[in-house]
Formats: sequence, C-alpha cells, structure tokens
Amino acid sequence: MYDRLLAVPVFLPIVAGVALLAMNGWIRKEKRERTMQWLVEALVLVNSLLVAWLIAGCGGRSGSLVLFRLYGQLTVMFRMDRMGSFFAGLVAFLWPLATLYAFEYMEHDERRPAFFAFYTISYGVTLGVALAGNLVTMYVFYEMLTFATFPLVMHPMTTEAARATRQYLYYSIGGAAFAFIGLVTVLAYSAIGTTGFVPGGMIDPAAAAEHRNLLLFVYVLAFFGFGVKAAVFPLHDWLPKAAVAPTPVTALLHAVAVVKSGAFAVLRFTYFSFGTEILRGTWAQWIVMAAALVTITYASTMAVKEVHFKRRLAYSTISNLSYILFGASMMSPLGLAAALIHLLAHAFMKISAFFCAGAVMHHTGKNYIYELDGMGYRMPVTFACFTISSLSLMGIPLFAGFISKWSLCEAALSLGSEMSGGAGGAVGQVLPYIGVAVILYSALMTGIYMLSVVVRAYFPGFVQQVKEAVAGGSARKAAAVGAEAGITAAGAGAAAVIGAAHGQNDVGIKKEGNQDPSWLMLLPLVIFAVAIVAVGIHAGPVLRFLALIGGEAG
Amino acid sequence: MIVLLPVLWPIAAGAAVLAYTGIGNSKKKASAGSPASGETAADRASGSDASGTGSGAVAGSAFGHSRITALDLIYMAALALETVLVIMAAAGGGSVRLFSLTDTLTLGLRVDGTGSLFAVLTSVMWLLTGIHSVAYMKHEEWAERFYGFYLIVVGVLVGLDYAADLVTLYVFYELMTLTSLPLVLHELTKEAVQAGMKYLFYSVGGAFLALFGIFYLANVCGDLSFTAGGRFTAEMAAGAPLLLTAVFCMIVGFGTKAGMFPLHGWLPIAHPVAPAPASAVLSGVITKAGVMALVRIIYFLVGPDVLRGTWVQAAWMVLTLLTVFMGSMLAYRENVFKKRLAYSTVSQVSYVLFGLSLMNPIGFTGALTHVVFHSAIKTCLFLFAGAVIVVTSWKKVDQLRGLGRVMPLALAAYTMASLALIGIPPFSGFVSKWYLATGSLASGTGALGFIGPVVLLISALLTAGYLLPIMIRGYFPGQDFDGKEIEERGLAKKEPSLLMLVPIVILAAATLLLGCFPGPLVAFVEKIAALVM
Repeated sequence: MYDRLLAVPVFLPIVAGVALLAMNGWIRKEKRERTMQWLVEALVLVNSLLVAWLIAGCGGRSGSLVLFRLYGQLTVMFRMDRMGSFFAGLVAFLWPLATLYAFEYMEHDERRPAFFAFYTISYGVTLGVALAGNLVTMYVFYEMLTFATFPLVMHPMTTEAARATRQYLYYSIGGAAFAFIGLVTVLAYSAIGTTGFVPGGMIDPAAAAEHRNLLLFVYVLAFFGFGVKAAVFPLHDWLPKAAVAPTPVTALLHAVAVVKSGAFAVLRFTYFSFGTEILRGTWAQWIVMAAALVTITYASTMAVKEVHFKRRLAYSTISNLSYILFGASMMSPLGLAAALIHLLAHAFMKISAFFCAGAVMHHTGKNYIYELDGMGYRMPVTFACFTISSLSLMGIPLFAGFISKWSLCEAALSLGSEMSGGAGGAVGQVLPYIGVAVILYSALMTGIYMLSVVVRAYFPGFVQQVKEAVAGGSARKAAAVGAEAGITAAGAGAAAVIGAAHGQNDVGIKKEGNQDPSWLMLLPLVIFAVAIVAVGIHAGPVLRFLALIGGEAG
Repeated sequence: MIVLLPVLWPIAAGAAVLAYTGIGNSKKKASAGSPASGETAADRASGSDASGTGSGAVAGSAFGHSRITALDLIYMAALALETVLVIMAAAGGGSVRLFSLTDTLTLGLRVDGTGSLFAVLTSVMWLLTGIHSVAYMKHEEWAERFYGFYLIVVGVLVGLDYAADLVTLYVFYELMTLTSLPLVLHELTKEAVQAGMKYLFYSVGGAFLALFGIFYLANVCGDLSFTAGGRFTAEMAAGAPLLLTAVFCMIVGFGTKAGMFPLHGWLPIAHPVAPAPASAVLSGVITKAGVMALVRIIYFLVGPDVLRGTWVQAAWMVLTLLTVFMGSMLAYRENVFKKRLAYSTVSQVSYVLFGLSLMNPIGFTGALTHVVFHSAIKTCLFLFAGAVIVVTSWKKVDQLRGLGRVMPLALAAYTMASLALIGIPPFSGFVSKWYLATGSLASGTGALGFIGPVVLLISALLTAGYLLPIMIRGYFPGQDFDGKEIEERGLAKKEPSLLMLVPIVILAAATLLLGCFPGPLVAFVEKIAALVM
C-alpha cells in the first residue's frame, strides 16, 4: 500500500493541472477564479501533506514502485530514499506557500487558470525528479519539467518573454541531449543491469577500468548536460533572461524547483550512478570543479553590475547554484552533505529574496535597484525579511547561509588536505583552496549586491537634500529634488516635509504610508525568514541527517 | 551566567529604544498636526522639524540642560548600568555556553583578563561618550535612532571581548559591523551613505579574508576555543602547510577594522562623516575590536611561539610600520579636523599592532597599554572636535584660530590629550611608547627591530606637527587675528555645555593620571603577557 502511494503525489498535481487547463474557458467565463485558486491551494496542500506522510512513513526502509516498463530494463519507478525524501520534503514545504503568494501576485492577471494549471503540473513533475528511483525515470521527468515550465516563462506574452522562452527551450533540450549520452553510458556499463540509483554508484569496476577515459569524458558531458538547468557557465544565460516570468515562477521555479532539479540531478548522477570512486582525483573532477568555480566568480560579479532587481537576484542564483555544484564536484561525503545543506539554505534565502522583489514590483511597480530609496519604511515587513535573506546569502553567522558556507569550505579544505599527497595531480592540490577563496570572494560580492539594496531601502541618501531644500523655504525645490531622484518615496518624503512645514494635514501621505502586501504574500515571507534563522542558529539535526546521506553515498 | 547580562542588556535596551521611537514619533507628529502615519525617514525628519521649530538646532546657539528628555536620562542610565554590569562580570568571572550552531560549532562566552580589560575599557568609553552624545545629538536629528544603535553596539562589543572561541568572536565581529553601520550612515547625506557603504564593504571583505583563516584553523585544529599561549605545537604547525598563509589572511582581514594598510582606506572616510560621538567610539573603541581579534588569534589560538621569526611576523611588522608612518603623514597634511584625527587613528592603532607583531612580553605590554591610552586620548580628541562643531560649527583646522578665546578650558583638555598622544612624559602615551620601543629593540628581529623605534620617533614628531598647531594657534592666534567672527557671533568664553565638557575633562585627566601612575595597569597587562608567553 505504502509503495503504491508513492506515485500519487507525482500524478495528482499533474492530473489536476491538466483538468484545470481543460476547464480553462469555463472558469474564465463563469468568473470562478477565486474558487479555483482556493481549490488549487487545497490540492497542493493535501499533496504536500501526503509527501510529508510518505517521508515520515519511509523510516528505515525505502519502498519502491515500478510504474511501467519502457523497454527491457528501462523502467519508470519511484523510490523514497533519504536523498529523494530530502528534496521532495523541501519542494513540498515550499510549494503551498508559493501558491499562496501567487494569489495576490497574479490577482490582476488575465490568464490565471492557465498559470495555476502549469504551476501545479510543475509541482508534480518536480516531485517526480525527487522521487525517481532510477536514472531513466529522472531523465523522463527532467525533460517533462522543461515542457511543464516553459509556458510559465512565456506567460507575460511579450516579445521579450517569447525570446526568453525560446532560449530556455533550446538550452534545456540541448542539455538533456548530453544527459542522455550519460544515461546510455551508465546503462551500458552498469554492474546491476539497470539504471537504478545505488548509493556510491553502480558502474562495473572492471569495465570502468578498461574504458576509464571514455567514462570520464561522458561524465563531463552529462555534468554539463544536467548542469544546464543548474545554470553552470557557459550554459547559464537562459536564467537571467527567464526573469521576465511572473515572480512566483522566478522565485519558486527559477530559484528552487527547476534549477535545483538540475543540481539534484547532478548529485544523483555523480553519487548514485557513476559513483565517486571512479571520479575522485581525476581530470574530470577538476574540470567540473573549475566550471563551478568560474560560474561562481562570473555570476557574483555580474550581479553587482546588474541594476534590474530580479535579474540581479537571478545572477545571484547562478552563483549560488554553483556553490551546490562545487560541493557536488568534491566527490566526498562531506561535499555531498555540504551541497545538500546549501541546496536547502539557498532555497529559503533566494525564494524569500525573490518574493520581496515581487512584492515591491507588484505594489509599487519598481523594477530597478535605484528606485528603492527609502522603501524599507514603506514596506517594513517585506524589507525586514529581505534583510534577513540578504545577510544569510552573504553568509553572516546566525543565518542559514553561514552554515552552508562553513560546510562547503570545511569539505573543500579536507579535500585539499586529502589531495595534498599528490593523489589528484598538481591541479588537485590547489583547486580546493582556490575554491575556498572563490567562495569568500563571492560572499563579498554578495555583500555588495545585496546590502547595497538594504542600505538604500533604510538609509536613503537623498533625505538631507530634501530637508535642505525645505529649510531654504522652497517647497517646489524640495519636490523637484524628490522628483529628480525619480523616486516616489522621495516625493512622499518631500510632501511630508512640506506638509509639516505648513502645519497641514496631508491626506495623501496616509495612503502612501504602509504598503506591505496582504497576509497572502507576507505569510510565506515570514515563514521563510524564520526558517533561515532557525537553520542558522540550530543546524545540528539537519546536518546529522545530511551526514547520513553523505556517509552512504560519498 | 553573569557574563551574559552586559551583552544582552544593552542589546535589549537598544532594541527597545528603537521600537519605542517608532511609536513616539508618530505621537509627536500627530500633536504637531502633521501626517500621522508613514514612517519614511523623511517623515521622521519632518517630525523633528515640526517639533523642533525655533528650538535652535542651529549650531552656535545656546542651550542649557533644560531640554533633557526622559529618554536621554534613560539612555544615560542604561549606559551607566552597562558599565556596572561589565565590571560585575569582570569581577565575577565564569563562562557560559550559549547554543550550538551545528554539532561542532558552539557559541560561548568566557571571562578572562584580556576580555575584561577590553570590556571595561569599552563600557567606560561608551558611558562617557554617551553622556557627551546627549548634548551633541541636540543639534542632530534622529537622536533616538542613534541612541538605539549606540546601545546595541556596546552589547555586541562586550560579547566580542568575552567570546570564548574564534567562531563566537567572528559572530560578534560581523554583528558589530552591521550594527555600527547606522552610526556611520546617521546623517543620511550622500557622503554619509557612500562612506557607510565603503565602511561596510571593507569590513565585510576583511572579515571574509579572515574567515579563510578561520576555516583553515578549524580544519587543522578542530577546537577553536581560546587558550592562553595558543593551541599549536611545533609539530602541529609543521603538519599544516598553509598555517602561515591563513594567519596572514587573518591579520590583514581583522586588521581592516584596525585601519591597517592595505585595507585602511575606509577609516578616514567613514569616521569623520559620523556624528562626533560616533566618530569617537569608532576610532577609540571599535578599531580596538580588530586588535582584540588579533590578540585572540595570535596569542590565544595559534601561539606566538609558532609565528616568531617567520615571514608572517616580518610582513606584519612592515605593514604596521608603514601604516604608522603613512597615517601620521596623511594626518599632517589634512585640513578637516575630524579627518585629521581619523588619520591619526590609522597611525596610532598600528602602534598597537606593531607591539603585537613583536611577539615578546614587552611589546605585548606596550600594545595593550597603548590600547587603553589611545582609547582615552582619541575619544577625548573626537569629543573635543564634536564640542567645537556644536559651539562654533567650525570643522576645518584653519578655522580654529583663536579657539582659546572661545573655550579655553576645553582647549586645555585637548592640549593634555595631544601631549599624551605625542608621548611626552608624564602623560600616558609615553609609557606605552617606551615599552613599544624597548620591546622592538629586544625582539631579535634584526634590522626591523631597529627601524621600529625610528619610525615611532618620526611619527611622534608628525603627531606633534598635526596636533599642537591647533593648540598654539588657538591660544596664540597672532597679531593679525582680529577675532571678528568670535565677537560677532558672541562666542567669546563660550565653553561647551557641562554634558560635553565633563567627559572631555575626565578623559584628559585620565591621560595624565594613567601616565603618572601606570603601575597597576602595567602590572595587570604584564600578568597577561606572562600567561600567553
């Protein structure tokens, strides 16, 4: 019974989404969007509870369910092991909250039913990636994920969105082709005859010894293939472009579900199919590690340059995804655990950062960083959450980001001392240390690109100008300064100052006062902020669980 | 457990002040008939504008103590209580484990001699500067926000001083950067925001550089809790090829806060844009947090025996001497008064670091005594600069001619502090410099050991060059000085108000007293030195 239920959380959202699509016209005609939304939320919530129950029920045993056979040994099967339950649990936690957030964000959208349909389908497909029991299944859902999510990128229906969608499709499908080579090779060299995931890998050691370089080459290909979704350099370009999608999509799919499916696939492929035994200390390891490090450096630098709020966060996502890949490329138990803790921490931090950006965009129409002066006072809760996620992304202690940064660097340094004997060649001796340096460099860049937003929001530099203008007795000049800064906050500030100077009540200001979104948006934000702090100050239990995964698979 | 109190109390009090002012502000605004809702910074400005109209926020106008509000009193009382709590903790000793971040990373506080020295110093400077700030903030806006963050920072600093291990220290170090940032940003001008960003990015960058070292030490050593004399033995050091690099990273990284070359660039920008009381503690106390971190790492974690005679020691000495010279030189050329003092800080804190880099007991004694002396002196000087700004609104050095006619008493205090900083006996600076110079000669570092005292001497000359002319031209403005501005603005014999004057005079007196009777302090520091070496 338990085993059969494994397929339910995957297919329930998919079926529901398809049904929604079918009823699209009816819902819109009857104006039943409100009801539809709450039904979707209820369904997603039930699905998440089901996942939670399955995880809790999985306990020690790992149930599995063979759904059907494609051909010979190629089966589509689900299995709940520790690693899968970790990712599934994360996704199940985030999805209902993100759906809740999407209610308010999409409230003025014309095509809500279609949006929620694809949003819900993506949930099922992502769970399919998480619960896949073998490489074939994972590959199938990995491909499906591309097709379930591209309509969401397309959703704004602008030329820009169309271009972004096209790029997304080409990149993803192209990447999947490389991953397919990996899949075939794994099947050909499998010691167990299937592509089922085995902690520690299942490549036949004898065959591996014979065709070592070929296997390593295929590994590198597959790494970049799966890495497309994880936006590894030089295949990262689709992600910032895809920021044209509605924020719930950017936040959940392009910061967590899709991109982390890519990272998760890399982890599965490395630790459960290929096995680290063959890879550790080889040129293949150094190539993928170098790729991750180049991505981190490049993307965190680009994020500083970027002035569009969401695109800046997208670049930050690219860099942080490569933190995970860096952990993956260490081919050690510590590396796997570090990659997974960063997967968790980054999910919370980035989704909450994106949600803040979305709340700002939705309520004020501001898209660029330089428009955010003084916003901290107009959306206090939103920006409090944003501050927390910024500090966490930087890796300030007491926040989740510090824990993952610490774990990554700890893993890198222990790899470094392991390789110091010369086991990994000359590159292997220095690359882990360079990795630590790169992570710290990226942390500094993160500080610059995140905290410059926070400081702007709380300490707008224009206030003094406005005040001086008022002191000079020129109300018009004060307003002009505000307008010149191109900031409505400044305008409001100026108006407030003028109002005070004339001892008048300015009714207009009251409306401008608190612009925090409603609880639909705030609840997810606050929950994520709490989660960041909770992981940050007491990560022991999570780390112990992840150490188990690392122990069995590293 | 008692050690928790001085950390938590000011943080709670500061947070309460910040939370309260939100409410207080809107009430005030409502009564003034201005918009009641809205919380933009501009709104706050309007609030204080409306209520403070005609209250003479313009510099140079008279104000007595009549306008001291209940909040001001609570604020001063909170600081006084903090001083008491710190002294109680220092006397009571003990340690406490806070909580564990992960299974290997735990946060804890522990009272020891070094921590107590720094914590008591911090809280006393904070109290005196706090009293001054009540008067100073009358001519600034957003005083409540200043009070709030000012209180929080002292809690964080005491936590840093009493940190039991490197991770805890790092936590408080980062928190200190973040919570002291609003003090730099306070005036919300373009320059202030730019300076604040510079402060933030340098500090964070330095901290991350140091973090590399922390990662490495954690990897090699496992346990990062502080032990007098360090945890590394010669064999452990031999088994860790990157140890020296890691230590050097930490020296440069934490040296950022202490304004050490090459990451000193933020200090002369950020310190002067803050309100004067904030500049005083930034220069006088917060720079010492960087010193504290290095004391802990070199003398309580890695151990001086491992580092003595290595390239790290030589490189560190060169960097500090370079900073000493460069800071003095730049101070000499600077015309903006507070900026001149900030450059002076760059130079003087590197005296301390130079003493630490010697890695012998005499140099260590010189360094820690100089921490105390410089703290008192520089706080005094900045508070004086603040008083000058409040009374006369003069900010440039060449405006200060004839200052002796305006505030002879305060200028006398300034003179005492200047003499102490130059190192003229019997003022305090002499004592520490004596130890630094003899420590340098006894350090056995070859040529550098001899160059050290020479650089200190040159820097002392430059110090005289940049501090004393203010005094000389203040008291003896020369024949051609007509004093027209002083007469016209009615500034003659206009000492700063008592709230400002008293802390300045106390600090000036301290520089003299500590110089005359350095015995107890030196004995205390020598005891620590004997423990760690």
